[in-house]
Amino acid sequence: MMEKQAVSWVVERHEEIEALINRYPERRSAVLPLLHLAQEARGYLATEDVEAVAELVGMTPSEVTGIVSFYSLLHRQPRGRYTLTLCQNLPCVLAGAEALAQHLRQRLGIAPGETTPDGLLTLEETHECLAACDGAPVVQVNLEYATHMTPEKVDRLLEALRAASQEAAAPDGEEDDAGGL
Amino acid sequence: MSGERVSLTIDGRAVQVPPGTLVLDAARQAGVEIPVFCSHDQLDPVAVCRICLVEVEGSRKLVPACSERVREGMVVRTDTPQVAEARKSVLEFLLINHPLDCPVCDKGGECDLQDLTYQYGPALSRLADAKMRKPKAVDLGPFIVLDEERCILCRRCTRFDHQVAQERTLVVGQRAHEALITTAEGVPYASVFSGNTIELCPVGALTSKFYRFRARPWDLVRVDEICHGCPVGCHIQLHFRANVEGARLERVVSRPFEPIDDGWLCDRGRFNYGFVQSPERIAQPLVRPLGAPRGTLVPTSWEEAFRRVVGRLQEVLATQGPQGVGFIGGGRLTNEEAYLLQRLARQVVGTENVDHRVAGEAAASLDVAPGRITDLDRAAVILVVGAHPGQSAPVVDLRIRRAAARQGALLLTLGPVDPELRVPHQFLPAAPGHLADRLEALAQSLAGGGEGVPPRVAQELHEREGLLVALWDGREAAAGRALAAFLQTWQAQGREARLLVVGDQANSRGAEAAGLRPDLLPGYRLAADPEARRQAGLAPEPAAPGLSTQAMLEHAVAGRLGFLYLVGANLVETFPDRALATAALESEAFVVVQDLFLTETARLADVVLPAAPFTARAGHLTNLEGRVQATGPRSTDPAAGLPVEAWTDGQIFEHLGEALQGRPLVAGAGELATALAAAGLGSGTFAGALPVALLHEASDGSPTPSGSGEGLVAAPLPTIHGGGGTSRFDRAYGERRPLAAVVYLNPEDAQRWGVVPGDRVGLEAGDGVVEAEVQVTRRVMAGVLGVPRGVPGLAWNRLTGAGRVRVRGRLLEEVG
Ligand code: SF4
Ligand code: SF4
Ligand code: FES
Ligand code: FES
Repeated sequence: MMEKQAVSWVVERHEEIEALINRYPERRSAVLPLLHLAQEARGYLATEDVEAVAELVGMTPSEVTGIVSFYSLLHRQPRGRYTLTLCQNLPCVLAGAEALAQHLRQRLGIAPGETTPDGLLTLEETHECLAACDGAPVVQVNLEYATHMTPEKVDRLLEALRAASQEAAAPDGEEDDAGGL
Repeated sequence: MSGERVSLTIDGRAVQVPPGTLVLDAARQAGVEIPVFCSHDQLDPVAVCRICLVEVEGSRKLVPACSERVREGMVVRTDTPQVAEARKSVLEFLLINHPLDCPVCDKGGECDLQDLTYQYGPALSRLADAKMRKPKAVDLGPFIVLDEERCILCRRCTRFDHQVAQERTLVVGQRAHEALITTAEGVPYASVFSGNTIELCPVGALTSKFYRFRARPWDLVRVDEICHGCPVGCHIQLHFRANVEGARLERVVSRPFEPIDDGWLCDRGRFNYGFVQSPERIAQPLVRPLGAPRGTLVPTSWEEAFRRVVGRLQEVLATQGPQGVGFIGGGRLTNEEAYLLQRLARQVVGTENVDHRVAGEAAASLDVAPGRITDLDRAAVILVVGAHPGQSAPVVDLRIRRAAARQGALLLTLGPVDPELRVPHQFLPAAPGHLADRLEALAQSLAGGGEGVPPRVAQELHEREGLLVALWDGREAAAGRALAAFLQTWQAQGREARLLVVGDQANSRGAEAAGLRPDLLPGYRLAADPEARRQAGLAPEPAAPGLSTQAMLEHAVAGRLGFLYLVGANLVETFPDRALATAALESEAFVVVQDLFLTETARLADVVLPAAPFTARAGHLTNLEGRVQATGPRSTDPAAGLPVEAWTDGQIFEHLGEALQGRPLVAGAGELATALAAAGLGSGTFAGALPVALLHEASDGSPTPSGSGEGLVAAPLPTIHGGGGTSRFDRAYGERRPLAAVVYLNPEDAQRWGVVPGDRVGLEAGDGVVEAEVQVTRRVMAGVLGVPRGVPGLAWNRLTGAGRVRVRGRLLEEVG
């Protein structure tokens, strides 16, 4: 086949990629770090990212797809700048996570799995324990925990996130496209 | 090693097995049955389903019998309450989200889940909640529909795709109760071996698009058969469903035979069966009315058709003598039919003009280092010369993949186009007409010389101890001779060598052995040998030396051959020089075509005789390793509902013989069997092979484009789903595997001719312009144009006939 147009992160982060691959005795062991790198670059994993990672580690796109779909922290769809993951496992539910879920859906006007139209927030609910039950109910904001949540605390969190994103966008006045939408 | 034995007891029965045996297999040997889902003889154990749990003394937990290896003194129990409870629990878990739609499931009646639940499972479910719903008809690939609800995640399908096919397209996606069988986005499961997963699936999750909802297993009549798709000769079983109109062929399944197929089939063999009952089959004899132009055919009776054939044959014999008559029979005939055809030609008509080579091949076997398919399993080196095993001998390709990927065999390919092999290999480009040069260099490199052989390859060839297996496509006589010399050099160095020739058609080798060549009598005896002729009841001297296919066509064009009889030979599509084939058919010669369909060739005939498909006949086929295998027995053409009056090819020959000489062609089945046995084609034996001395240039129908200058040399590529006959008249199959008119160019040439992938171009050869889409790939060597054979609308043999091919730019009107 004619050489395909390389995906931009493959070119831009070439050295990092090589270093990651060289960390392991077998190329394919680098598949997860590379997927995280690709996701960091685009915000999610597009089909061409899956193909690029497959090519880098000598796997087929199907094999990489299997891996991506196994991990809930790897995303195949564009995401908001922030992903709010609300724990719905038993300890959190006992501490009021169900009411919290109701509140969040109403506030954001979206269902779990969806992203707000402004591309800021993606809502997720997980039935797997987030392993922070001592802080139940728990909301995870990207990779950070917000514990002992109440509807009021959720509202404040949302405000803070909106403000933070406006600040980030302000200095050069560019459109915020971090969400990839 | 071989004598070593491990002793153990299973349910109190003592068994001795070789070390490393799985408990499951030891139990089988002891006559103890252990249920399985994920385990399969041809796949590595994964132990994911847990239905095979057994008790092993000294082990705290139950262990899976399918992955546990035997140990000396091991005490295994499968008949305890714990084991029964474990089986019951596993089944209860598997059934939690199972839809229980057995009454509408294809697999019902032959489903492991159904059978084992009946035998070991709980009678009732304790599940109070609703079941999980999942998609029930996922389009997985051209032939397969996946029902996600029925899948029990045994991973047989994915393991087959990874371990056997080495393709890694089918995977398990998602996790836990959401896990499912899938592929990458936009990638269909289009392996040419995809159908095997349907049979592997222990439940009704993977179903055949052709067989879906068509029959219940207990209603099927099963007939053992040999696949007629290619010269591998896989063992198959035909499943018919009877109805008031007769039997309908509903599916083809495997009939595992380890020396050939290991239980695998390719999708051509498995799914290309609809032609048998195609409404496009020729329903009754056709004739060209006197004075009507070629292409005009009207139905007639068998009597009238035979009268015409015999009458015209006698006229030509009277005017031109036997040299004016020629018979060309494709390799779809059985050994018996091939024998009868050459007997009809030689004994009755008195002509030596017989040939089976309809696609420009030189040979279907070679008597140096005759090999067997299983030799590939222990090969240290595999050398593929000109052949594209994945396309023309697919199930053999599985063995090549395994040898290269799992047994470390060095895999070399030599030819103008690197075959798609799916496993690591080294490609040695060799231009059409020059394969011999490359092979000579390779032979010299064995002796330390050899220019143009990559040093790494030369070194590997020098160092590898053990068996070398070569696969050759039987084209280019010079290549055959050079390959023979190479193999002899290898052997002279004290190393083993084997050769497999991949014939062009299913029974090319049988036709060759039965004497369907101008220079050979049955049993590879020379047609010029007076003693052999005397024994065959022929005059010691042939009236004239026999003509090859090419020579017969040339003689027809020149007006020296007035009667041409073609059997299952669609020469317009298969002969490398389309112009010559067409000219011969349009000449003054009287052309008889015996076929199932009104092919491009049949259309131009004077008389068309409808032949019955393979399902209607019994006999033997000879596969590419020379194994003579029985097909049949059978007596009916399952043309359910079709108004078809077809005779088998053999019946037609016998009728003609009798009409011409007033007595039967052979005295009876006994005489026929004796004659075939004398020709080395006894049932269950291995046929002889072609003497290297008979590889003449003259018999080599693939013309080498002469002259240098601008232009590309066309290299024909076999295509598994293409073909001159059965596949192009199998509607359902053709729709599932649409064949695009695509040609392949090396990147350098693409640049030189200013084309990019996807362009539609005009390809200009001596004989007009052929349109096709361009694909660019390094698999094609520079200066070569790869042209697939058997693709409707792509007249490949206009490009291979003469001269070089020029790429006449992009067809811009196509762009908008
Ligand atoms: S589709 Fe069939 S073979 Fe594949 S994992 Fe599911 S049950 Fe097993
Ligand atoms: S490999 Fe050949 S013989 Fe075997 S199933 Fe395929 S077409 Fe039939
Ligand atoms: S249940 Fe929510 S963090 Fe454990
Ligand atoms: S058959 Fe042993 S675990 Fe599946």
